[in-house]
Amino acid sequence: MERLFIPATAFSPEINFDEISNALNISGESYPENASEFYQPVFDWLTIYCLKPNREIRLEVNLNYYNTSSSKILLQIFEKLESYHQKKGTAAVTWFYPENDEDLLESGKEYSSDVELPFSFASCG
Amino acid sequence: VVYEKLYNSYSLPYNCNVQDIQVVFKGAITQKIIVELGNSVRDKLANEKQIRKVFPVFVELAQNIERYSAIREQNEVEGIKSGVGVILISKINYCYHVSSGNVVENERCGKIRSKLEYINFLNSDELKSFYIKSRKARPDSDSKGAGIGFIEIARKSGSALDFRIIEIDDKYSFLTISVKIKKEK
Repeated sequence: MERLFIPATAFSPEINFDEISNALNISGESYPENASEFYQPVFDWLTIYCLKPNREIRLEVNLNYYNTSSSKILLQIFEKLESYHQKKGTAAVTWFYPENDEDLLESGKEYSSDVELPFSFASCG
Repeated sequence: VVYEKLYNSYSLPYNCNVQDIQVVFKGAITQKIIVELGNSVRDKLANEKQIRKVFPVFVELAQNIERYSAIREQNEVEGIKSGVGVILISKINYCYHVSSGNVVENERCGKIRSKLEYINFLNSDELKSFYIKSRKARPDSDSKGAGIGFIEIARKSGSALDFRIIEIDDKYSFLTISVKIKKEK
């Protein structure tokens, strides 16, 4: 399988998933009109990626803003990793938030209590 | 013509004057327009903490019009059909107001009204659990988004959502929603 790279636009994030280093990165803005359509290639890639056991997956989420439909999709991505973490290997999430953005930190914490995945939080200046 | 009148008379917050207006748009709302208006909002409010709440409320309300407005028009530049409505951001006494207005089918009004009334009835902890519960649930069949936009708007605002539904005829009504974002301490 190949690395998944989708360049950022003004309203959609950069997706950079590397299956060799197991570093998955989502960064930028996420408010596409149709979030399920935008994220479909991400799910397709993850489905194949998660077939292989014993990976040590590190997902980094570095979003400046995401709308509610993206919020739902993010949960589905976390749930996919949760299931991998429970059965096949390990997965952990690093949640980046702009310094002083309490709302975005709080949103990350809400995800961390909603799924069984290790979360760490880092402010990104 | 009747819609024109409605857009003009009902979309402004109660005591808004022209000089209070920060951003306003009337017409078919596309993704591109949302990005452009959004950038302009971010520029204007760059030094204000409230931007972290105004921007999300603006996007949710604008995307609601884009997706659900009963009046749809072809955008000549982008060549796609999208919902018509009015979106306005104003600043009155240090508070920001994000307001939207669009035509909706009468058969959807009951559902919109009961959802907004229910959300207005909840306190912030209840809103949080309702948000988390609804995000995990499957969306309604008529929902093109996550179906949690109104809850998000209420959480960002911290005040009740001021909404009005005005019946136009036996098929359509005009929906306005106005959201207040207070100055942060």
